Amino acid sequence: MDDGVGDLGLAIKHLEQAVRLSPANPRYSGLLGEAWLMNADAEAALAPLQASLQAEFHPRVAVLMALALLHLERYEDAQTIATRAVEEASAFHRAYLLRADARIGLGDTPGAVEDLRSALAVSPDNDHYRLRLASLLVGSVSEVGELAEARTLLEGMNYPDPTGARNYLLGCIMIEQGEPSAALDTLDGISWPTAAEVELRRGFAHLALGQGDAARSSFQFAQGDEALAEQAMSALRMVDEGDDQTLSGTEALPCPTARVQPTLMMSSTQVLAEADETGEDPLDLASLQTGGLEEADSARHLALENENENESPDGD
Amino acid sequence: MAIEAARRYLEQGRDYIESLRWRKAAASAGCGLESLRNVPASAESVALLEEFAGQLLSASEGLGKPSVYAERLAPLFAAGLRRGRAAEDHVRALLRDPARSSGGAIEDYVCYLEANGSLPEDLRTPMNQVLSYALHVRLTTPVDEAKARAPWLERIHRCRPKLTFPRLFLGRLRYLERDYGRARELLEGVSGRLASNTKVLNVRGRCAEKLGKSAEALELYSRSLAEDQHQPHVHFRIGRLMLARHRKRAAGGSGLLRELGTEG
Repeated sequence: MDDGVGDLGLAIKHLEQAVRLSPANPRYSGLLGEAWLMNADAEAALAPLQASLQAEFHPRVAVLMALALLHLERYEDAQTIATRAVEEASAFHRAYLLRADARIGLGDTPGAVEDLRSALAVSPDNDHYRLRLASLLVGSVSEVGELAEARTLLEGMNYPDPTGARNYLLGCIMIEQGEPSAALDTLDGISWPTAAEVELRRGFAHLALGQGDAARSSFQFAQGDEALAEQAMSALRMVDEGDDQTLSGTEALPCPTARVQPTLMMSSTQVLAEADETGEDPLDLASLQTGGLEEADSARHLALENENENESPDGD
Repeated sequence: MAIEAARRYLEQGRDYIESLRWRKAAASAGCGLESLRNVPASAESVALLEEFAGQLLSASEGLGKPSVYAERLAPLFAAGLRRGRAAEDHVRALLRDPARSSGGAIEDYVCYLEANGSLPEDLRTPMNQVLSYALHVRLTTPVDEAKARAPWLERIHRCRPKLTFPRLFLGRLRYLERDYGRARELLEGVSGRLASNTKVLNVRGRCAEKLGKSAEALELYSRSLAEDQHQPHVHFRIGRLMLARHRKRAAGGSGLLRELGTEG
């Protein structure tokens, strides 16, 4: 067996063969679709996933289909299929996640927020959902309570965050909530989503603390990132004008979500993480026994098989 | 007491045979056998049974009535005569009987196997065949049914470790019981033509999968496919294992957040 790089290619080859030999089996086509998705070929994933869903609707396959459609930017279709998965299995939290992604694509942020809240209600310990929801709330604050909700979500995360995503978002909230000093501590030592993005936030915190030189230095660093250049430039002007009043509102703290969200998108491998196998499907057991035309474990065969067994263990 | 009585019947029987009084000889041997019915088998009792069997055979030949001998074979066997011609004739008769697959018959075959070494060809093959049929365990056999066969299979496996079918059926039973380690061990020992049989390889592959030995599972499934390419479920299992391996590598064995970091 090939190891390393070729695993995915070989998996696809075998799954294609399985589908070719047994085209009506929804598990085979479902897994083939999944393999194509993992191979970042959403286009190729569509047909087997569709075939699988036609043979038998399964929420997990529906979620895969939604993921493929998302990759193809077919948000409306992704939303439709994810909705069906939600309807079929309301406890399947990944379906909410995928619908949230579809709704983000459609510009329906409130809908996405609701979906992520639903996903969290089903899977309350899921740190990824906490991050996703928090980032959406930070990026689309429409009510005062939402920032507090986002902060609660982030502070309630179960595991240390080695990437810095949690601290980044928390730092943004702290600046917004008038805690620049705490924000600086929180943003210390992270470079997520990028070092320039973090530095931009640190600049705002320094500015709020009246630390003009430190703020200038941070904004100058952020200027190096093309995507942040304009924002950093305008922040630098504020430093030069000694204007720290405008920092109190969200306008001065442009939404980080646009850059953060794609980074927080779940990878195929996470979405597709397989459910634990429980028990043994009777069909599985039967399939393990299907052989060729000749029943090699028939009594007749076994009796012949034992022709050379005419020896007693003790040799008598 | 019983042994003493049996000895007396034996002496009496010898006298009848010498004087060619077959009917009397048969009756005397029958009484001797009856006197040993509830005696635990011992070297002494078995030696006496062997003598009675010989007398019954002579008497049946002298009378020209095979039933005189044949009808006593089961009681002789039940009383503990598990070796020699009478035991062999009993098993042979059982194999011809319509009830050859009954629980009682299977018990006798197993006792016979336990007591004997080499068997004549014309006995061994049909007996193995009947046992293979009667004790057959498939992965679709209800577990309770399969478990009921286990004591016999284990006894056969103990006295005939090279025999394939008890090993195969016990392996399947252990698999059904989710004792994948033991199932793997048993099925690994399947030799001969069945060692490369796709059914055996597939269950072995499944055991390896269940035990988290994916490299071994892949190897076994590949061997199965080499035997028969037209097994969609095996292609599926290989595909699934390889996807899992790929997924594991992609995740780097890390948690969710580290994974997020690798995508940034």
